[in-house]
Amino acid sequence: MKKKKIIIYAVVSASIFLLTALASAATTMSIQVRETQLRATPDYFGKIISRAVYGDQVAVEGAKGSWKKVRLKKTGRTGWLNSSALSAKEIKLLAGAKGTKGAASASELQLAGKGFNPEVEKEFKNRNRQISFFWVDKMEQIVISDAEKQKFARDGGLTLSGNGGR
Amino acid sequence: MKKIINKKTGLILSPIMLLTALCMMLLQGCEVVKTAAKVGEEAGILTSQQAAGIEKTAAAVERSQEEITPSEEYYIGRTVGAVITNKYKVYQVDRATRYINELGQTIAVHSDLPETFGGYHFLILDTDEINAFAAPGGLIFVSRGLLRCCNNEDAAAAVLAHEIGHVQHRHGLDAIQKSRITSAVTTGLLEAGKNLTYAQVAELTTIFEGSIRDITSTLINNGYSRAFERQADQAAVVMLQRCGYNPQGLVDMLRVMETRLKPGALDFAQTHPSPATRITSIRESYGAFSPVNQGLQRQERFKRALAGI
Repeated sequence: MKKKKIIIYAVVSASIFLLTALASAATTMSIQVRETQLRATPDYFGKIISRAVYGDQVAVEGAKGSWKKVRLKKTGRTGWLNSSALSAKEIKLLAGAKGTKGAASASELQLAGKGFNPEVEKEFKNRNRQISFFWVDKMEQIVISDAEKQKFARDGGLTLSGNGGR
Repeated sequence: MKKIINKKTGLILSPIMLLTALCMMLLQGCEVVKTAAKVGEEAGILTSQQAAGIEKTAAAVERSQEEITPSEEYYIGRTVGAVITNKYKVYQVDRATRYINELGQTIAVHSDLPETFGGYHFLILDTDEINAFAAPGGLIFVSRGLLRCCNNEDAAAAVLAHEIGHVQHRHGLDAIQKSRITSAVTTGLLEAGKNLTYAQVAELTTIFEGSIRDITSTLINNGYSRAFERQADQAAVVMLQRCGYNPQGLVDMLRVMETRLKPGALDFAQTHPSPATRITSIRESYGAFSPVNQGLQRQERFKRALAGI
């Protein structure tokens, strides 16, 4: 009977260990967009606390609607991020990119993405020289700032809450 | 005796642990379950066979749900955009381009996918065709012909919101033949954190080229299914309401479009359900909307920005 108790005790401890592992693993998420901003409040017009780039890891500390309160692991700063910027999967960077921490720019880090990445685009361009990326590169530079969006909404009598969808 | 107890305890507890793991899988994602399966195996709760089974299931679910990451979607979208801007001339009037980006990027904040890897960007195509294309990841193209169907900002907002709806639902990626991605996955070409040889990059590029062809031929020639178009219209109505636009703008635009579409033309006449069908479907889901108030200040800026369209 003593042996039985020991075994049950061992299995229960293992279960607790397993559940703890599940819980702690679930609170870490990765930035899946090129660049985003941690906000003081859960909306797109909240004060910017910190910048985060592709592959950065965050600890999730809370949630409100489609927003998550997170702590950016590399700086320890806390703020709100929209769920669309976050992935539950760890984003693994290529070996060459791992050394480029800290000072690395977003454009350098995105080189590390898996699968269809700049390397593939480069090879595509080599094979299809008649296809120009001029307009695609140009349109990506058109970015309307938060302040400009707010002015656009105000001037047009829109009801822009900045809460994002859902 | 020890063996018997072990077996009995194992028999009782293994299904419980498996069940717990599967529940957690639904709640928390696949990576966690794979880790859990390993932990379970190490702790002696799961046999290596059971652990491998859970890992395999988790991996399969993961592949079907997230075969293509937002960063890959971005590179696919760039190339789709390049193909489109090589087929069509771009309308180069800064005032108009700026305006549809202010409008589109403001609406995108209220989509269910406000952030994509590279963000939402808009361009006008210099063609009389009544057409629009949403490349995966948020590069959106609308024709002068389609913008001419818009009599007010609410209608133009509806056009852009419909395209944002396609991006939000990742409809473009759905056009890629599944076999292409499956072959890239099974040969390990899409594995994270792996440096590929030149031959592998070449193989992956061939899969990439095929994927681009699948998407562009759907966007340009075949069109999406009626179900996808309905989803995009519904997403548009929701986005418009969230921003304070009147969804009647979508109906107004469709009414004008109906009078201008030429049967047999290689544009929305070929790739989209008829405007009448779309209006009926919107009515069925949302009922009737009040008329658009054209006296607002937004009407002035709409006219100013798109005066030459």
